[in-house]
Amino acid sequence: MKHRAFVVSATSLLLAFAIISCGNGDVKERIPIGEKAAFLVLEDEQLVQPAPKAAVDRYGALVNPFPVLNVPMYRYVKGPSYDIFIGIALPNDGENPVDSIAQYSGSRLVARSENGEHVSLSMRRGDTSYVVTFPAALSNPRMVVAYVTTDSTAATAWFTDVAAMKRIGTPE
Amino acid sequence: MSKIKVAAAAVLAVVSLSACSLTLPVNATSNSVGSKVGTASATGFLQVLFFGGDASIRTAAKNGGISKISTVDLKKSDILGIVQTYECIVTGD
Repeated sequence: MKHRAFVVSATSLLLAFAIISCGNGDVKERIPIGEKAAFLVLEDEQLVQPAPKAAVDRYGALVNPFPVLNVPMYRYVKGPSYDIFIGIALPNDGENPVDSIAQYSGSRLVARSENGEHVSLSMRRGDTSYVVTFPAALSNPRMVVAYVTTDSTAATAWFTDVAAMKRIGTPE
Repeated sequence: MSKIKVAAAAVLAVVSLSACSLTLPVNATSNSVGSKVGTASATGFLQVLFFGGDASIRTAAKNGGISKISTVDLKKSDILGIVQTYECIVTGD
């Protein structure tokens, strides 16, 4: 009888622990970035794998359009009214990815912010607004977070709040 | 009875090995995002002994003859913490 009570108690505790562990605020999922970091996906967002060609093309046109410099896409997260892309800026002897994206002739640089923790570019191309953030902590390899939307107000808020940095967490 | 035990042990072993393998969905399974696919892999032991394995993006791109990389993906598998395999898959043109 004692043994049964112990098993029931242990199972209940384990179940409670599992529920508590899974209930991490509104974070639905974590996309590993290397061994020590992760991008946090929220409840109303969806990690889409494999990424559809349209998403890859959209990302490529905005962040990876350069003939020599490579900033390939790593993950695609679809939000209610926006897309978030995680990319990798590969080292290149001749070109700085921040400057290349900021000066890309196909888009217009709206604003740039920079401190020790990040460099962020607010860009616009046609009716698309996008914010490209380079977190300083994710420099090997150098990761890129691109927020893309047609809602310029939302893009401005993402840029002003440096929201990309709030999405970087630990793998667990 | 012993056959049942052996079968059970075999099933358990298969389940254990499968559980340790992390396979991420890979863009490279669809050629729609790039006309070429390149891979590079490295196998190591006990998380530290890799004997110069190269699973870098550059090597994967080179192996696939890719100069313009569209997407990158990573596949990691781990067998009981003893053998680790990392595979890098790139697509592009």
